[in-house]
Amino acid sequence: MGSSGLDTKDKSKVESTSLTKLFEHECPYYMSYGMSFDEYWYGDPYLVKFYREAYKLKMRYDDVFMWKQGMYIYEALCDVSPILHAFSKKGAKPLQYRTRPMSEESNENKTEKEKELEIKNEQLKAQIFFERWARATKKRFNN
Amino acid sequence: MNKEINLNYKGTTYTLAYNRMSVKIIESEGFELEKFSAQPMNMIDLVFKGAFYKNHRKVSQSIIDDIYKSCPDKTKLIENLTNMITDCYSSLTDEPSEGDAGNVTWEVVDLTPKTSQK
Repeated sequence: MGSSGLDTKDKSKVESTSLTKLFEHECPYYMSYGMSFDEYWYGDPYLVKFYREAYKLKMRYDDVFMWKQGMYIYEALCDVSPILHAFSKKGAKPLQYRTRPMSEESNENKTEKEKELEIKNEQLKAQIFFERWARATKKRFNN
Repeated sequence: MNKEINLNYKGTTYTLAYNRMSVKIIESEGFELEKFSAQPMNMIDLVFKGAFYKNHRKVSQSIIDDIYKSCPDKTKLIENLTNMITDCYSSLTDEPSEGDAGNVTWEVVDLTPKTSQK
């Protein structure tokens, strides 16, 4: 008794591929990418590739945009932190929030004077750091 | 890129092309991808007719049949029509390739001697 291998083979079904079903299934996705119904159904079949690529780029831009927004919020919170906690000293003031957007503060948009001032600030910071380090090292050797 | 077949029949130029709607229509008329891949000759009439939907919807069946009959190199024609249908669904998954130089322009020129009018 028992079934032969042929019987089990007969029971298996091969589903036919319906292109219409596939197209109808994919259509809403491409419409969400900004493709119109007519472009999808009546336009060049290859248009979808470019919509897909454009969508990937848009996602990347959105990601950068959200990251930058997070940076602004973080910075704003840091600036306001001196007065944000319950034990802040009387008369404490929040730090000034940046006067210009980040993009405008890149080196290209700075005037010569601002660039010079920044270099001087960096030099001063390095000098202070080095002096502190030298003092600390000296102290350690003296002990 | 997308492929087209430029066909000249009795002085009229036909641009045969496929879009997703054409595939949908021929499927509703009985086209099946598996069957076409296995036995293309059984469905070639439908596939050839489908290539007219995009740009020449109002061409009658008898003209389409006449054009098909007078088409030389049918094997290559079928091959190109198959590629055009494949493009309609493969484009949904394919990544854009560099220098997609798959453009096929296929000219069929009518060489039948023209009878002089009396």
